Amino acid sequence: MSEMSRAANYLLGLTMLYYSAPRQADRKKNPVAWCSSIAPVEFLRALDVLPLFPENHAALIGARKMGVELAEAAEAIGYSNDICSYARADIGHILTGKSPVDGLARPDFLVCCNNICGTVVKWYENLARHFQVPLFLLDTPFNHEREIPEFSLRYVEAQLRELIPWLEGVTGREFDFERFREICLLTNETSRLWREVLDLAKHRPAPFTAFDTFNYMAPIVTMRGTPEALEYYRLLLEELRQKVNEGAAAVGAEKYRLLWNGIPVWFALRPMLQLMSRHGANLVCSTYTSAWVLEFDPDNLLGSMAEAYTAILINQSLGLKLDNLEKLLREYGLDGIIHHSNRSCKPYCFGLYDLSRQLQAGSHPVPEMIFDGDQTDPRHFSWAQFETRFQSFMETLAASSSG
Amino acid sequence: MEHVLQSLLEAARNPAPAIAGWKQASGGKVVGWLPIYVPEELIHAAGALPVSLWGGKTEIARADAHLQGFACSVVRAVLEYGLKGTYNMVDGFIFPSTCDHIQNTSDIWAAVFPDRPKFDLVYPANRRSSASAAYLEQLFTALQEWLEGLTGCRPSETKLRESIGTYNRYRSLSAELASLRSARPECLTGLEFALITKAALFMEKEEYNRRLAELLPWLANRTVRPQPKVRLVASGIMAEPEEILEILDELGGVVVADDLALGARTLRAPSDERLPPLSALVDRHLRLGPCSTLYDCRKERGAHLLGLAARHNADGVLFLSMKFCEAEEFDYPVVKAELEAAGLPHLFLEVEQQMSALGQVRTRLQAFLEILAQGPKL
Amino acid sequence: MTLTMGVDLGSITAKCVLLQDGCRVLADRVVKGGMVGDGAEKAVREALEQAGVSQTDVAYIVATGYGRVIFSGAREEVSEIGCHGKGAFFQDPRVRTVIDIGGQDAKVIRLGTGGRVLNFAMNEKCAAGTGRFLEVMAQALSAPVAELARLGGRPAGKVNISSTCTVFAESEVISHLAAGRPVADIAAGIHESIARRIAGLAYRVGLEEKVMVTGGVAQNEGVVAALAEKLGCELLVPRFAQTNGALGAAIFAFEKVSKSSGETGAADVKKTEG
Repeated sequence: MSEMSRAANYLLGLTMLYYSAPRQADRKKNPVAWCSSIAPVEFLRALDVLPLFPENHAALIGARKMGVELAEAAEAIGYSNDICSYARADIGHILTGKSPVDGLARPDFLVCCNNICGTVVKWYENLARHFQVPLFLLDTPFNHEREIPEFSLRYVEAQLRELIPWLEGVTGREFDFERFREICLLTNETSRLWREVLDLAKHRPAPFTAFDTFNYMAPIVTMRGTPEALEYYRLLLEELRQKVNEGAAAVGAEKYRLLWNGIPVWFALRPMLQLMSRHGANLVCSTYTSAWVLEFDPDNLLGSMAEAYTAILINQSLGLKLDNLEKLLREYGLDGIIHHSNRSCKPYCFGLYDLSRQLQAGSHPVPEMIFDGDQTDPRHFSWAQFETRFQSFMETLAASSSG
Repeated sequence: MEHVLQSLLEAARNPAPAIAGWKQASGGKVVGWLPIYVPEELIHAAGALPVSLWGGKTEIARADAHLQGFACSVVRAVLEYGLKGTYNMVDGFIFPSTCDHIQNTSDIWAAVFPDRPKFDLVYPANRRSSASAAYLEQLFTALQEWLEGLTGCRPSETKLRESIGTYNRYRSLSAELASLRSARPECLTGLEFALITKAALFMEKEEYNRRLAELLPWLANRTVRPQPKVRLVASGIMAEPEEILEILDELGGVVVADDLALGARTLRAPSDERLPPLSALVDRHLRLGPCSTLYDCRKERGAHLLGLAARHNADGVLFLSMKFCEAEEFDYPVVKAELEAAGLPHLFLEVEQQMSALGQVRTRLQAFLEILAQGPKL
Repeated sequence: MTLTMGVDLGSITAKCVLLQDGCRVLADRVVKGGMVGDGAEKAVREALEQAGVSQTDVAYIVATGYGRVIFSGAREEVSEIGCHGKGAFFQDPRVRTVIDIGGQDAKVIRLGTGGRVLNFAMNEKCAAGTGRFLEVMAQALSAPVAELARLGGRPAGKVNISSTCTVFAESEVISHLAAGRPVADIAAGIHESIARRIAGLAYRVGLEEKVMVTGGVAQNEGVVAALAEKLGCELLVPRFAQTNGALGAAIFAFEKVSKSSGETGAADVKKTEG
């Protein structure tokens, strides 16, 4: 392996800072909050709260192959094997203290937003109970229509307004709206760069794979709204542009350009990358990584934030999910889709079969593969089955591109 | 009076003929709704017949083409019934935002049946915001408009008040039945109780109230079984399939109180008739709970079960965990720890509507009753 | 002399124990053919022959196991949980946890003083952690279950069978075979997989020593060794491992007889009639 790039180095430092700062923090100055993955951290940052993300940590647990051990610890106290493996991994880590990164520092309070699922609300109820700390629920009603209803947005905005005094109460600090505005602008800028990073994969051949983006995405998730996150994406963008200019290809002979629809199978990233590379297939984009492109209107911060946090794709109708897939297919010049039927994530995968059916009936059908798996729990995944399905998917692609 | 009882049991087990009969006689619309909470009063006031769609025991075949096997058995059954035409007499469908399963099945439903009227009742999960009531009022207003489009009827305020009164009566009669079950468990079997409760979900409430009111004094003197050896509190989404209750009846275990969604959870909290009708319904929804599907950062369910057990002199808790229901599955470890700390025995029983091999269920129930019959721990 | 009998009608085998005066095992039989076929009748007949007595000499019969409801020869039926608890306590009164691994079910039973059942847990509807799982995996390896035990005994390494789903696990086994992994290593991985599943159940009810393993799979040394390692404690395998449930049933039967004749103050037996 070649020496580490500047961006990669910077990311390593950021990650260490992200985990260690809350452990060392003076909680009076820097309280620690645990947050669901797409929660409005801009408010927290404005009050110098250090957010931690159990889902992100659980993904790491999965990638380091600790998923089974920690899930089993949660199951031993009565958690069903059927519930989200992120939740089980997180709870197992709380119970055993085991973690690839010395664990998450104990929270002073919790902020949960249900724009990713209803399950996370139950998970946070239990966290609040376990840690005996306050919990703020930001409810972003699911949108079944083309447009988010106006009264939904007003309700979300009202809750965002209520979040401010609530945070002042739990932190004992005063909210500075100007500071908040700056942080929101940082999020805007960081999101814009993140979007640009992802867009570089539109080049043929793509300079990186979606597997790389699963790594690149950490700061937009965990450090959004900080100058450090922005700096990381500046460095990254620079390096990746360089690669594009050099005509570098992530996969040697890029024959097929594929889309990943779902959360990654964190414990099988490497073998999947190898398998795909052997077939000249590159995963150039995913519906997952773009979920963190969040942009707010500086003239209507709270209103636009209410909309941005509600409009997360898995919080919206199948019709909008289909539109997004078709848009990505066009923009990235994709040849096929891999759908992850993920036992842990119901909102991401209930509806997949009909999504696929509608896509096939639409104007731009491409070959698809659906496989059964899980984001963190290898007990719900069969590599042999995945490999077999992938091979036949490749055969279908070969047939359709030659025909 | 036996025939009144039988008519209710029949309505619960085979609701289609009665629904078809109602439709033919009244010429009205039938509105089906999924679990758990729907302001039926609004449907009733619009002159339509609200009918619950809580799944059922049916072989899943067609639904598998649309929904993974790890979706809960209720939504799989609902989809299956829809696909095989069982719901053809239903004119409109309401999908509440109860959980990820129902919420996402709603979109699948729309993809499969694009032309069938559907309303998504996306509740405020945060019921403690200052904006929750306003949001809910808008939501119920939107539901009223949808109902008006379906039935052509916009009920007067008087009509709405009447409907609220009818439903309050329905809940108070149900509460009387529940009290009777605890005071004189010998008056009806566990299965009979469950079916009487379920019958309400398919019948016009005036008619149901009439029959139940007739039945109550008769039940007060009826004896169908000996005094129970073991008194239980049942908790969960529903006590189905009904074989579970049959086995329990056979083994001499008696549910004397419940915390079931298809049961006490929906029957709690009468509407405040002093408020304007829509506000009364909003107010009621904001007061519902505890329920696994309603956000509760205090996790009051364990305390609620302990309270129920104490009030009803129960020996143990039957935790009927609906397979794949995250709401219930996340509650269980918390409830488990609390029951254990309080020394109240419980049995965790995983249930699915479509389960057929009940041998293991029998073994577990029997062993649990054997343990409870030993008496308190030494 | 009082003779009582316990019949444990399982999914794969029928077991019968003939007991004298609640303390001496006169016969114990295990017969292939559980709920379907005449396994129960055969086991009863063989037990009577072994002891040289006739059915009319038997004072009371208690049935247990999956088929207990359909077995017509018994006066009474008691759950497997109760019977395994009873049998294990009889075999060793120090036992506080019983792990019974049968064909369809795996159960962990916690016993209190005097052998009373405090709590229990059973596997969920899937076959992981049961004898059935072992059978399917043995088939995938084209080796008899008994052979699997021997094979797993001396592995050079151990493959990881992570899937709990039997179908997934089977495909894992096949792909390990295809990758040329030694059968012994795969067998060890299979035993480990069952042990992990059972340990999960044990943690749910809380593990307290002494721990006894019963049921057909208790005779599989590979699984028992893997389980002992996983749980980090010694596991007792009693003399009547596979017939422990039937033994418990026979004791229940004896308690019933002696109670009704007022001989001893045996533990209260709950009567449940099918």
